Amino acid sequence: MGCAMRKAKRWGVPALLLLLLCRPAGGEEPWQVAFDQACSKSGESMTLSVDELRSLLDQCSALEKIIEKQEPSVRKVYLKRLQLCRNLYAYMLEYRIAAQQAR
Amino acid sequence: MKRLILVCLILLVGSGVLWGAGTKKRKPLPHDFGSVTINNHSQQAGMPPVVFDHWVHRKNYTCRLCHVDIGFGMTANSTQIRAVDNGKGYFCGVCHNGSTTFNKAKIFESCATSYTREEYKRCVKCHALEKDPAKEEAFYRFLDKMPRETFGNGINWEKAEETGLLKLVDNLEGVSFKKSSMKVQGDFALKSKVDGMPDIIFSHAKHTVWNGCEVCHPDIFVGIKKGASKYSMIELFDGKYCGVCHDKVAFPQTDCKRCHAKPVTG
Repeated sequence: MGCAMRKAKRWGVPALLLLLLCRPAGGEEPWQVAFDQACSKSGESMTLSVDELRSLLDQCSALEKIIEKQEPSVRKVYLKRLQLCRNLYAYMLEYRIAAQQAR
Repeated sequence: MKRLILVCLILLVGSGVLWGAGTKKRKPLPHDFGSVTINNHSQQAGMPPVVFDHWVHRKNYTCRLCHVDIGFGMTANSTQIRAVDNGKGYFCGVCHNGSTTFNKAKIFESCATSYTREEYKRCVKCHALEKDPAKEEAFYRFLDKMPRETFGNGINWEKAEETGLLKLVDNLEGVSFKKSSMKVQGDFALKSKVDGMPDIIFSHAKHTVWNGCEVCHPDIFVGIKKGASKYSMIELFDGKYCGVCHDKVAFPQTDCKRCHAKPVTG
């Protein structure tokens, strides 16, 4: 478990940075692709492990700094969307940790 | 003495009437149920406030699409929408941009920085000057095709979705992210606090069809352990927990049997 968590921490944020450096062909900004990847797991958040949830939360924190620098309309929309998915992951993480402790 | 009793009686009845008129909430008409008035910047810009009708939108789209993917807040005026945001293709402008279509019909453009007298007719579609009888008629034509319910706007939305009468859009190209299939928790019962009142059957499945996960968790329901948060009907009627949606857009909480649905045994 500890190894998986280290891996998730080691690769989660660098993978996000790599994504930010590559501009996709679809016209979306690299950070938007990273945003989609980070927040698209919300529907399956119940099945994610503690390590995966921690990695996603790290990605969300990195994204927040980038979104803060965008123009006001983008900032307003994406900070709201990021807040929703980040809060859900934090909520699920709390649930997972509580379940582990109860065992 | 008789005069004194009469004066007391008049005062009593008068104060009762005034108190009642001041505190009693007027029940909205079916076509008005779920309407939200948005007035952050409209009047400053010389426009009437926006009257947003939920029914017009929820017959085609999930709540999640607008409140998660597009980023609308869950309370009126919390989003601070500006015309410039809509003009850039955010919020209302995601669909109301003059080029997006629904059922092969173009969806009208939302805001403009300047407008002609002719274009003003488009502005007042949302910045409503007065009640629009055409919209009211459209509601009742729609209602005729829907499964009925006693309260709210008279439509059983849940049944309409379940039976396929409504085909809700939950994904917009270029806005929504690609979602994997959702794992949903099973239904569970919540103990009623009143003797004789059936327990509540809460269905995650029925709620996630419309809302996904993040509309409710953790902003509305923060407790992580089932049964750890205790809700009272007073809090619910005060607009907390279930009351965030129910009473305002979803069916009213006065429709007891919709939630208190577990058959009483013994």
